[in-house]
Amino acid sequence: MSAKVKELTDRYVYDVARRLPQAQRDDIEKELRGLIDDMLQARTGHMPPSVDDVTAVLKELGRPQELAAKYRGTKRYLIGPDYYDIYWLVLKIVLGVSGIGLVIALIVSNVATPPQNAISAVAESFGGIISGLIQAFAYVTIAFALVERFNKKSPWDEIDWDPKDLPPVPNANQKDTVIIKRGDPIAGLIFGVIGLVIFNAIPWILGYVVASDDLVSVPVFNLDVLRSMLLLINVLICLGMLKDMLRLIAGRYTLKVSLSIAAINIAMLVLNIVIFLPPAIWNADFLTSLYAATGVELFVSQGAQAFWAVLPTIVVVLASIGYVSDTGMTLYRGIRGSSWRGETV
Amino acid sequence: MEDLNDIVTNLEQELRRGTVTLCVLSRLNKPKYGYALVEELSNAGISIEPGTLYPLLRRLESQGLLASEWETSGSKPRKYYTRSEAGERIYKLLCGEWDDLTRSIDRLIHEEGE
Repeated sequence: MSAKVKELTDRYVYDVARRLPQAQRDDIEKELRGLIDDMLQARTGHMPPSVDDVTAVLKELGRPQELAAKYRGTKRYLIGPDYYDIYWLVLKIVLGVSGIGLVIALIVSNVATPPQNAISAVAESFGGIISGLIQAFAYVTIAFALVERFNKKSPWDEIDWDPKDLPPVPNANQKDTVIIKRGDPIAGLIFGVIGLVIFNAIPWILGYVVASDDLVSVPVFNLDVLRSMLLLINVLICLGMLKDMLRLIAGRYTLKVSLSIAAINIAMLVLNIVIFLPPAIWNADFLTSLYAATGVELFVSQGAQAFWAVLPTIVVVLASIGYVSDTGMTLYRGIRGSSWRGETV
Repeated sequence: MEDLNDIVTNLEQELRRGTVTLCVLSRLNKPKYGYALVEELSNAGISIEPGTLYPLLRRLESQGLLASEWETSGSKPRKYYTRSEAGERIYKLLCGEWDDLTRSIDRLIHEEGE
């Protein structure tokens, strides 16, 4: 066997073997060498094989990666068909929500501190959005790739499938009550992101803000107290986003979905009262500062003072009414949704 | 549109794929090494590429249908495969299945559809 023939054989065998599990490598390598030898001999008889001969034989065996794949027996995916649909859905939501969040955050920060050079600011913002989106894409993809890698069994194998569980084809009457339109929860998620950005990064923007020569801000909240409550506020906002995610993924109301949403609503209601009812979180000097900034006397009138004093209560009561009515509606739709699943409509 | 020839080739491959295991098992009542099996099957009119047969032999071995042994006394080391006890049983079962299948399919393809 000429040196060139041996070298080609070695390179081929190595390229197949390196793609195989360690434990099988040596054995397969040895067997593969024997096979190539046999194939060469079948081709040339007892004549020494030429480079053309070995090339033909290796071509017959096929691409190293294909041969190795046949030895492994299983196909390999970064994200396989089992997870692909849910991956795609999650990716779209995450990219959409973080894209909008980034745009808003950048607009707000550019308004708050107007940049020296508008063109470079736009370019920078654009770059920031792109790199933020790439990060979001990477995190989602890595998470799913890890699940794919370490979950040997298909997730659907575990769940017993029953045609009874198929969602019914909605008819015109029931469609509106039971099917969850995607727009509402997506809007909710977007507002959630906006809320997180505002409360965590730029809470002073909630209030009276004039950005002329000097930036004047009269915040509605007492920023120190707000900061100390930030954890609770974030929990509140995240609960809201969790609720939206639940709606988005469920796609329609069932009793289970409704009860989960009701539970989240109760938690949000309580948090809302705890955070916003005590007057401390509101800016006690709001009206006087507003008067100082604008010179409008109405702000320091008795009526305005009285209104400011009851404002926390009004906010909390309105929010509570919102949670209670949302819970009621959701439960109603959930009950309709589950009775519709059964025999009686 | 897919080329008709490609479709035919593809269908033929699919048809053969399941039968290869049976062919391989049928020849391994005595120990044989891979390339000898390729030639024997090819002489019998069943062509199977070495790149398909070798991984198949390993899979059947890992499933316990074949036993193997390295033969190092000859001019080059070769791995010889033979039916294991379990392989023997499964081979018999598959033969029965094959007979049933060919009988049924024969009837289907030689009679006109109603």
